[in-house]
Amino acid sequence: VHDPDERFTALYDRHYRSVLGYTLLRAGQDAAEDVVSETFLVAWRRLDDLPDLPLPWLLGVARNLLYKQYDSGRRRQALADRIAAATTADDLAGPDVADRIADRTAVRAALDALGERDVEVIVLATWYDLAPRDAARVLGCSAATFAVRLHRARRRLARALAVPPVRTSLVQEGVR
Amino acid sequence: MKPSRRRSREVTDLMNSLAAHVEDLAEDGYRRRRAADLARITAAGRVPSRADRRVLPVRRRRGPLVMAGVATAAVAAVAAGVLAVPDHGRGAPRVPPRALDARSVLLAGADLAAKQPETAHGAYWYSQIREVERARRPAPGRSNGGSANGRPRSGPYFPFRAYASITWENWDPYRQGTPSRTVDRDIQSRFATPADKAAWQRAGSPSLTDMKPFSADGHADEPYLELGPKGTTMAGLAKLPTTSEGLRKLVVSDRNRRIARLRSLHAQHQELSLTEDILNAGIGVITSPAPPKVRAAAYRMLAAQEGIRGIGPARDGLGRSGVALAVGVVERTTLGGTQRSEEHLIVDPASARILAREYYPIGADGTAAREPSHYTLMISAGWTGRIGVPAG
Repeated sequence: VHDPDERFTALYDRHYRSVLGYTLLRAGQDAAEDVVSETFLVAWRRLDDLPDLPLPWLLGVARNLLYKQYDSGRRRQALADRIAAATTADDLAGPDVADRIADRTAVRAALDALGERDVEVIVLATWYDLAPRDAARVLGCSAATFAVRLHRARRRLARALAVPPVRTSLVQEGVR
Repeated sequence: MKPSRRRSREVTDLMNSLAAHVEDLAEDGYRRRRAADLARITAAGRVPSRADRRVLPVRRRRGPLVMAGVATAAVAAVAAGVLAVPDHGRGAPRVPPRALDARSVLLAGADLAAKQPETAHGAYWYSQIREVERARRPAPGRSNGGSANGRPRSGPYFPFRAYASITWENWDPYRQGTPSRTVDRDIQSRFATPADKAAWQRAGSPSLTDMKPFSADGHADEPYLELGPKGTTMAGLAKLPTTSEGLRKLVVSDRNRRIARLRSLHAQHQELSLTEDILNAGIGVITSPAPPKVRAAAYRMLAAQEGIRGIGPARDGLGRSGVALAVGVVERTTLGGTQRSEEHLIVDPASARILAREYYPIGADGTAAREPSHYTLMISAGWTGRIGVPAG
């Protein structure tokens, strides 16, 4: 497809939700959508320069826009709001409700304590299925640095929970 | 079930519900915004704006061997002219120098570094680096993404000897959280000899590099050096060990942690040699704005390494004179295969500065080539008060 409009529309349709999902962790709904619009405007202007794998690039632009426009207090609040909204109590039923509520509270406290940078690397490594090298590109660091940060984030999370580190299929550490 | 097990499952559950929640909101935003976004954006001019660079993803590149990570775009920036290829003692008759003692060169560097005055920090640490690499073919089947964040060429070398170079400028803030800036400029291609240029022309004058100028401001907010369990910030440089043993311990424990982690995930993970880790850390500290005593310790750590060999007086790719030391053998794997290279440092004994880091390919017969396939020139570094303004 050589027509820029078609190429851009395909890019938008393919990646809009991923970029907005990431942005929603750091800003309220309206603000996040504005940031994503601006991200795609930059992508439009640079359409000929986009890498073969555009998602990390798009996430990197969105991240920089967020850092430019929103201070860490507001970004943190947005994250806390999302976590709170995602942990509604309605699925809490069954025999060990009390235990689950206690655990859930502990987990929320742990994620809150973790901070946005740690949550960010965990999210990049798990939700987006990005290889370390591509995730690193979002943050503007090297793959090795990303692996280090991911490891530290997991360790801090484990420490906050006082449990051994979580190993899930989502783990994609290592240097490609 | 133990609380710890339950909690760890709870983290996975929570991350999954967070993902589901955010996906719903994102789907909602997509439906509401799509029509208006597409109309507004595609009506705008498709001209890159200079202001965009403040938000383009930035690449980190400080150390050498980071040629991987350089911009790609079909630009055939071919300057005529012949490249000054580093010359190890070839200016003078090639008298094998009396086994130059690498250790005493490095120890002298340590003494000199220790005596240098401690300077007050500025707002930004400015560094200017040039990467020069022998030109390669594009990797087979790779489209040139033409991206500022694209990949470098990884195909085999052209049969003629041409070099592509790029100059990087970095502004790293002293204060964590302040934006950093990187500028890539001055992309050039040169031929080793006029005969190489003629061979290139006979081959149909193929493009030699995909790099193009680029600049961006970063908000990475990460440590300046990956050294120590939490990395080392600019301010943290002053707290690094002031002894060779102390620094070495830090490198070894970083290394052990990394190996344990990567091994558990990546059975066939290829590990850098300890020599290379020590070298990277040592060079990182020596070329940083660390206090004199810390830089001196880094020189002593390098001096304590086994297998470092003095080569003799040498000039770097900019014609600056110094002393060449062979510091180790590195292996680099690309699509073209695995290449072992002898690594040289050019140290200026008069200033205790590292001028260049060079890689000489090792042939099938085990001897290193006379010309490097890749080298990094540390052109200048220093404190500056303002982003975008080089250090005076």
